[in-house]
Amino acid sequence: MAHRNDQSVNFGRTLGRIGFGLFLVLLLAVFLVWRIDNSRAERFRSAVIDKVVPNMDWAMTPITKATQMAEDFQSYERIYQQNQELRRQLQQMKAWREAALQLEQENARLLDLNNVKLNPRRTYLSGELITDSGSPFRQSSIINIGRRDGVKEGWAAMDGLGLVGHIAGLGENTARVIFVTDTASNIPVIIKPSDQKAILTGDNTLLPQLQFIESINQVKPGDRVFTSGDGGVFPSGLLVGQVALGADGILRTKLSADYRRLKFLRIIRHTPATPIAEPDRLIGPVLPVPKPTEVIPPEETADGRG
Amino acid sequence: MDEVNPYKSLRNRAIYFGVCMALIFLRLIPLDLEPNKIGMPDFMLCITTAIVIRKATIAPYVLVGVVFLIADIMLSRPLGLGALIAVIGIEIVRNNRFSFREMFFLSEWFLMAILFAFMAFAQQVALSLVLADRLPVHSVLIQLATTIACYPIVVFVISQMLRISKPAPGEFNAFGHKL
Repeated sequence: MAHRNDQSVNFGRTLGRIGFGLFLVLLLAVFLVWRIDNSRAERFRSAVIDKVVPNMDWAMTPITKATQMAEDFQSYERIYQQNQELRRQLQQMKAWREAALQLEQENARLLDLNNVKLNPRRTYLSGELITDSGSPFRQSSIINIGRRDGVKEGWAAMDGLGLVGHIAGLGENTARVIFVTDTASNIPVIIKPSDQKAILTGDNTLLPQLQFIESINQVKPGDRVFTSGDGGVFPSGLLVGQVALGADGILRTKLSADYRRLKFLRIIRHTPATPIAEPDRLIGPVLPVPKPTEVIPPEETADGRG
Repeated sequence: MDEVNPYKSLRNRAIYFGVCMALIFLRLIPLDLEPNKIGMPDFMLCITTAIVIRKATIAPYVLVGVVFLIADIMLSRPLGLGALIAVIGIEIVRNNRFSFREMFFLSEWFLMAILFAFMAFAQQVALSLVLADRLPVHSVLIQLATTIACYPIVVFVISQMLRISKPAPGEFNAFGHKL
């Protein structure tokens, strides 16, 4: 075995080259399948993640916790300043709370006067973040609820306050949340109080861009940004953040969600209103559907008789 | 040498595989969900090329392909593309490993920088050829820069601490083949 002559070495090399070529073709095929049948490939990916990631939880939790503890320990150094700062903020918050309560009461009274019916179906599921995307190019995360819990593609994810992202990719027990900061994320939003519609496009920064604003003049930094619900995928009226003007003159959104402390996500259940596609059905009585009468071609009848 | 003792070679491959899995795992831990400007360097690429130059048997191309394919699946990258480019790039290094061993480290580093840049470029080209979304250019450049910057550190750890060093020119294994 230890003694091989030149011929067998050459033969082995040729075989090795063919094997290498086949391996490259295999990888290329995987890539092309991913491109051509993207949805199936992504389903495969989420199935794999669904199997693997929950099993890694025992190893991940201690590391995550340890790092968080270390970070918390660092913050002890600044505890006095923080305390002072928090007191100041609390004072401001009290004023805001008072204002909010008054506004809420006023709003309730006005809604009552107008006899407005709000969508009662807005409930949510809570999920815990398990992993992040692991790549600087993709801003996404995996949460520990999935198809089994009734999560559907496209549902919005929020932290307590603001929009975080949407569900893209479902496993049985896990789901992937694409953050609004991801470059693949485009969300229709509305800017209050001027009611300008825009598209919120992520660009891998904490300040996603506002694009396609109808008239930019009416939008000022500090205006509030909500989801508009256009397109029917997203529920409307979810808080996204505030308009900010970047140094480069591009309008961006300062997100209300706190990405530094994301731990749990609320997944907003959303059943889009049934679309009204046929106006005649809506207005008049249900018309009888005309029965498709079969026209028998003359040749066939002739054949049947003959 | 390694090639004589199949168990030791197998053990080294297992260690390489384990290290790569640990790297993927570390990247998945949700420590920092803010989009950070400084991308993580591609340690797997550094480690694999450094090992292939020094001891090619530890990372055969099938193992490299499998490891990078797993990374593609777990890190939500285009399936198969990262693996394809990594296998080709590393195979280029493997075929030229004898010349790499003879040169000084600085030239090795310089050539690696060019290779990594070509690999990043090839990925962008492949993605645009199939009309898929390309990766944001500035993140790619930042990751490329950090990866190149990390290469000497990885080489130091591998050659000094793990004692996987370049075989001297003219060293042969038990079969009489050049190492």
